[in-house]
Amino acid sequence: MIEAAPVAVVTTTSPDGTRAVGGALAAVVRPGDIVVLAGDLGAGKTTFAQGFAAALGVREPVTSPTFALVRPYRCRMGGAGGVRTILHADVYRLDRLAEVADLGLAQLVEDEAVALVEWGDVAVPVLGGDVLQVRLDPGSGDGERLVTVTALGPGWAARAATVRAAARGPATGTTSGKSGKSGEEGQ
Amino acid sequence: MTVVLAIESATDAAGVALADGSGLLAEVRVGRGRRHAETIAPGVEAVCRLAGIALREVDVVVVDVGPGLFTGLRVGIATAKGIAFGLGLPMVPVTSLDVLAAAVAAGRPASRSGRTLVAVVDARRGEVFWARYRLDWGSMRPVAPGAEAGLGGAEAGLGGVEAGLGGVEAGLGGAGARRSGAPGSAGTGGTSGATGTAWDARSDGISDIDDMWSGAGGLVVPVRLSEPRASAPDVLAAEIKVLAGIETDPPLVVGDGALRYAAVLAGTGAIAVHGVLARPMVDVLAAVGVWRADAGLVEDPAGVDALYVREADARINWERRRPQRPAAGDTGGNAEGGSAGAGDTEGDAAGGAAPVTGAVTGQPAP
Repeated sequence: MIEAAPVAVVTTTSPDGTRAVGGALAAVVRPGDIVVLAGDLGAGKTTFAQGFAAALGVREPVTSPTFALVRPYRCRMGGAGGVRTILHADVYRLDRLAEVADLGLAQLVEDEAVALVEWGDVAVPVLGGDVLQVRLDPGSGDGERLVTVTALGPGWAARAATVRAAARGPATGTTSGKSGKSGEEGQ
Repeated sequence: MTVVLAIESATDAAGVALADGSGLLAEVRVGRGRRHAETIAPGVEAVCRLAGIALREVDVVVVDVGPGLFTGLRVGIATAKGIAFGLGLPMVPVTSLDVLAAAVAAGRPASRSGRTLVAVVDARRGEVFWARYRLDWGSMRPVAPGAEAGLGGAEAGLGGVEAGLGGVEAGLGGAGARRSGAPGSAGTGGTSGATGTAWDARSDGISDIDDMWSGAGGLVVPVRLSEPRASAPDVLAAEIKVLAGIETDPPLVVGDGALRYAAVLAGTGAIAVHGVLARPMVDVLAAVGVWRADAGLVEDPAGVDALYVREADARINWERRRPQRPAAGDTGGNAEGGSAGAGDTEGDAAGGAAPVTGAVTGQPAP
């Protein structure tokens, strides 16, 4: 696993807060990007994906793609980057990295798409390495989530400032007292 | 005479060919379709019909195992394995990089062997798959069966060892000719790639792909000097630059990766082979397959898999994470009673607690 310092750590206090962070990060993605979602069952990966998708104009309900493996959603608002499709993937059922490679996400995102890969942190090497990792962990309070955003790879590292600004933005508005703690950590 | 069915699907172009030792019998190629699932099976039927050969007359199934675009590869490899299993046939897996190199070698003036060639496949997302070859005067006769073990499987750890294409030993059967100068059969008028211009194998004063079929008598062959690997284009460029600095002739680069990153590779001193050879071609694949099949370098279909190059052989280390995974019964809590309104639930188990549970219990115990 690639070790890197987090770009931002945001605390949310509700599913809506997690969605808001997803929506904020959706504003910085460009076609060809891969975002991996880490965190245990129930941590809020799909919730994050819902906010992310909604911000790009996806109208249909976004559900866990555990069994479909990859679910494409058409974006009606691709943002400045011109994203036309979100590929919502889940590698939970896969046992070998080769199976993740077989999904061909690195190729599919070339068609003006971005990929959101649940449990994708286990498969970073076959995703091409340069990914943005969003890790969701339970916080100390009820319904609280710690959203840790990490740039893995040089491409995302170069965009760290943009990602940080986006990640911090919505949290201030959607979380309560905890928002004061939001922001970057690490070097 | 051995009849081979070759299936090429490593890039967004797809192809199917039938061939035997006398040459190509029929081929179907579709470019840039990315519709391999719709192309390959009908292609098999088409080449059989065009060649007047029934599928049951095929002796060996040859398949490009990549590296390349895995959405296409899985279709091509699955089709090839299905046919091989169904008919009880052996297979010859060939890497896409070997196919690219073989096409360049086929058009290479034998008068100037020893040149470095780097085959480069676009791996997407800012990376390339590549391997280094030496174009040598030699024969497609294999050194010994087994010499090429590992070509079909990733991570064979051949680092530094010369793994010849098809078990080729440069010079074997052609060593005499090599010493005595250029063989007449290969044409000596080639003005081998003037520095700074594109080097087009087909216009270089020699042959074309068809000449490969007479490979047993001796011709220019690619000897693979490195295992396929994945890296950023600038890492590859740095390696080529080193080679260019120590070799007489500028290294050649071929493949869609070399085209895509032409700007990055331009400063290395390497010369790009013409784009017509940038994608692995199924007739070349078939030719390599005939050589290897005749040499007995066949494999059981069960062992044939895509060449991922990256760490894809690894199993996902779910065990390490399992202690953190809630037991099956716990997921219901996160699904908020599994309400039908999956759109607003917090958590992965939204409306899907039962299936997720199945996945959990389906995992081997730690």
